[in-house]
Amino acid sequence: MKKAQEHTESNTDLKDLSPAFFSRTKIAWGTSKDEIWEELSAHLEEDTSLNSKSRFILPNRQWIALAASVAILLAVGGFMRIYTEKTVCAAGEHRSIQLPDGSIVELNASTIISYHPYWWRFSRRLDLEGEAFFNVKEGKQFHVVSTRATTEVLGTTFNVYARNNRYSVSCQSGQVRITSSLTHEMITLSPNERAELNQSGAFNISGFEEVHSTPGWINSHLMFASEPLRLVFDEIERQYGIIIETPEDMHYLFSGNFSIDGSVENVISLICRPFDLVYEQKSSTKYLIHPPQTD
Amino acid sequence: MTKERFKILFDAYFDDIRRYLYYRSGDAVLSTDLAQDTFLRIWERKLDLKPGKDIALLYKIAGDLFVSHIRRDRLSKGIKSTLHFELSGETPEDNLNYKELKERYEKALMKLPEKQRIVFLMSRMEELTYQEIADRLSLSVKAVEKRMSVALAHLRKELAT
Repeated sequence: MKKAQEHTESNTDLKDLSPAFFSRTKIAWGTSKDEIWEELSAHLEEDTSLNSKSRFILPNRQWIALAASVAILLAVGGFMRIYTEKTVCAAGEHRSIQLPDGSIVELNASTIISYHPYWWRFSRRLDLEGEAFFNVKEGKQFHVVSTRATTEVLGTTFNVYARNNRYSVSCQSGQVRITSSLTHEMITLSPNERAELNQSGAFNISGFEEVHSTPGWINSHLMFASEPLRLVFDEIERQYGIIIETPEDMHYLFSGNFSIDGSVENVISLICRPFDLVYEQKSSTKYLIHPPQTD
Repeated sequence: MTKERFKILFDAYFDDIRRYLYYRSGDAVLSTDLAQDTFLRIWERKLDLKPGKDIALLYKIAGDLFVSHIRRDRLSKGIKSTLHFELSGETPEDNLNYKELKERYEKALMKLPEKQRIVFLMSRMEELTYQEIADRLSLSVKAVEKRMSVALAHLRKELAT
């Protein structure tokens, strides 16, 4: 009770006193407003002259900075876009390449791929000439571009064969879409399907039975099913890095499979035997095939 | 902004700004310097402030200058200055009373948190309405009222002892 009284007391005290008190109070400034204006207006003259100068310099600098950063951005972007990584897998060689996103490409002999590693995150696209097996990490569209057709996937395993005039794709898992460059025909392959592009640019789809999860060539195993003999020799040439000469008029079809771990001679004799052909070694990298000489 | 219009702005608000800075700092020389800097800055930045409309910005610039000065200064010295009031009106018999009250006020005010001190002194020294204070400090009237009542409660306690 006493406390509350004290409060109201001091409250009235304060209320009565303070307005009166403050109406008589001043702050002791050292300098008057007019003195300050004198000082300030002297600065103003200086500053206008200074400002007109800096008005010229500042925008210029900003423009140069802006132009420079745009130029750098363009240069870096352009470099990223254009820089190409090219991998050549020579005859007689197999290679495995890891792409920036972790996808793996197995290159068969005599195969060239090229892609843009720094642009990879924006567009997964590579050029292929030859034969390669792809194990694609899931992600954005993945394009394999060759002269005759383009194969695109989201994330699967598949094999692309694009040599000279032949183009074929075997799908191991997932789905693969192929677009013919000539007819713009589009087909979709399911696992264990194989599409071959014929000479007119149309597709032939066939099933295949693959025991292994990867095409034979990856395990140094070659398989042929009714292939023209010349194509079989082409493959042997690539795998061993040799030259095999054959007569023009050789229209045999070859079926069979064999390992290429052994010597060239073994393989060539294996192919020649059923057709009653003979081979001759001309030099260390050159072989000649011909029908048996009839004396 | 022309020099003439700048002069008008200066005449209208220099004292207010200087006082505001004094309420915050309790340092007359510093307040004068910073108030001058505030106007110089407006001139350099070519801010076209309309008297009556953009006062809050003026207070904002002054406040920012003060805060950055404090930040710079805190490292070099930790001295806190106190408010000093001068009494006008020569009534000898009152003066003794007032002198004592003045000293107590000076002490008590310095103990107040800055925000409350500013509001209290604006109200008392300049007799600004709560609305006017709110406009200057970019506050709501409610916030001004709150600060004022807390300030009064504090002062009451300090002056009562």
